[in-house]
Amino acid sequence: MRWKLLPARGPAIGWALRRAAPLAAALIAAGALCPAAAEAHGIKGRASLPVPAWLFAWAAAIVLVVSFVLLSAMWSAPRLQEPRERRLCRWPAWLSVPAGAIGLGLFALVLYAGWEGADSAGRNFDPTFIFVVFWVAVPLSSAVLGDWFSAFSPWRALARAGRWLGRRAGVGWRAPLAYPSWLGRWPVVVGLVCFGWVELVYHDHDNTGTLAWLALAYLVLMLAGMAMFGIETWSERGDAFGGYFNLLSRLSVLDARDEALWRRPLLSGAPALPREAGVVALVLAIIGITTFDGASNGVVWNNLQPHVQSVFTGLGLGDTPADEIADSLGLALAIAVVSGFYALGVLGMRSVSRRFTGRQLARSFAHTLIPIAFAYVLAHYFSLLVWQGQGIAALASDPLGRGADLFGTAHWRIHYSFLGSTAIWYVQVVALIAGHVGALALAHDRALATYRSHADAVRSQYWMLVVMVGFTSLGLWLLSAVNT
Amino acid sequence: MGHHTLLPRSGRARTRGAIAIAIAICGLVAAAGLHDGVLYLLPALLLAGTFALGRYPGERALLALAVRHRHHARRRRARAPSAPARPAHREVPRGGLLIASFLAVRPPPAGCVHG
Repeated sequence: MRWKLLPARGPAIGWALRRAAPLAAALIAAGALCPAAAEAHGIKGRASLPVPAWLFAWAAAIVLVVSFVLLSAMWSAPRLQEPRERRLCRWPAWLSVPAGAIGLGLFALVLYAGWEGADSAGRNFDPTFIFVVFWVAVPLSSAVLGDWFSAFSPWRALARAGRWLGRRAGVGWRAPLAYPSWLGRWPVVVGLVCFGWVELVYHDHDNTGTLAWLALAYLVLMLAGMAMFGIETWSERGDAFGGYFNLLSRLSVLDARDEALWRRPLLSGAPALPREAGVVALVLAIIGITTFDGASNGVVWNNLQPHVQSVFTGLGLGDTPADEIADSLGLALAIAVVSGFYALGVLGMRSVSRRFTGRQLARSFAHTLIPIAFAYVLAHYFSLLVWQGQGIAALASDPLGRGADLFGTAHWRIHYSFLGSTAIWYVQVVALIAGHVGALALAHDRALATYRSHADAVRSQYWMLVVMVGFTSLGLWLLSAVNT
Repeated sequence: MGHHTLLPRSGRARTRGAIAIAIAICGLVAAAGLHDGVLYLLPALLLAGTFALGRYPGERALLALAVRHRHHARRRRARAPSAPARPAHREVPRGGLLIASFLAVRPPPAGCVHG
């Protein structure tokens, strides 16, 4: 009989579900309380939608359920775990020299503009370049074109140039320390959370001089890490931005490595994500930072934040430090809520089979969150990229904000009519749904490779479906608020 | 209870209690004026509640569909005509190549001749 496909289970299996259920309750409550409305970089106009915005979340849930059914019924063997790659072309090793020089040149421009340029976020090159081009455009383009940033990384280029010069001078340098396995990707996580804090919490984040000093401090930190653990090792595991861009580049069909360009099946780069310490935290931190960016301008946080702030002002702190501490707690809460969603999915999967520990499952399925991180970043920052990104053309001609016109584009203005609010809303919805369908496919493929039976794999994915629907609903709620 | 209910009686009670608390909290949130949040999160809430109760709707049907799909795929593969074998294609050297082959003390490698 057909249902004999299902493995028999004893009552002991219920323990994980019993733990999962209260967590689900707490999470849903937290999810309902935490992010309210509005989005920092979202649509600032009112989109005219034919149906209430919450119906989009229901439609997205239906799309995800249908995708889950199709995957369960028609995808019965792992396909993405060991992909076949094809080399498209090779390039000479010396090309890394001009690429590194371009990266170093841009970095020098950021320092120079920060120290010598106008102290105005609108006129100075730095804020737009750092918060729009570097923080949004580079990761999104990496998901399409592959990990191109590593070739242009200024800190890596400087370290490699130093190593080359040292060898020419007869001074060899060998990294004195072996990279500890317990450290894993934690430096990347810490770096990204710090950057997110500077962008979303720190009051002085628009001060161009401060940005330049922070960039210089980051360069020094990277060079120190590379000197201690080796250039390639630290670039991969210690460089916050390199690690972030590399993570999203795993979604691309293109892979640049070994001085060659390779083509691989869509999504097949993600399963190769190493299962090491800090990997789960890395993906959750990216989603959490984006979530707080959306929630920080929402109704609930804006109502709650003054109360939290008043606690700290009551302790004798000034308004600014109290405000920053309250927002820091909000950022931590957003990451915790996102982590809770994932923990719920892992606990649910744990109820299917006791063969794996929660930690094993969490690390094994961490790569399935990469498309969600990409979808969140694309959906939340799309309007910023489309509108504010146009400003870089004028700023490139006049990076210091002193009236120069180097490329003849200093007079270019931002065209806000370029894309309407409704069109942006639809792009965001499609991005969120597509990202979560991709995540479901990755999770299904990994489940088939992980569990002994197809039945166990399918049942485990019921829980990942909850995670995906939860993340989609949360993302749409954050985005929709600016339309209301 | 069907075999889909995995939890012992006490576990079921706790799970139902937790879901009741979640629904109550959502009700409070809705009453506080955040109707939108509840509406958005309702699909996730329904799914989580159903699975937490040990119910996996459609599981048997999904597995049956998967088995049927596998059979179909296997039958399609078996029925598909295999690619016709290429007829042995022997190239006969002509013209300059014939002269070169004739004059060569050691004939050129086969790859060069047929290439």
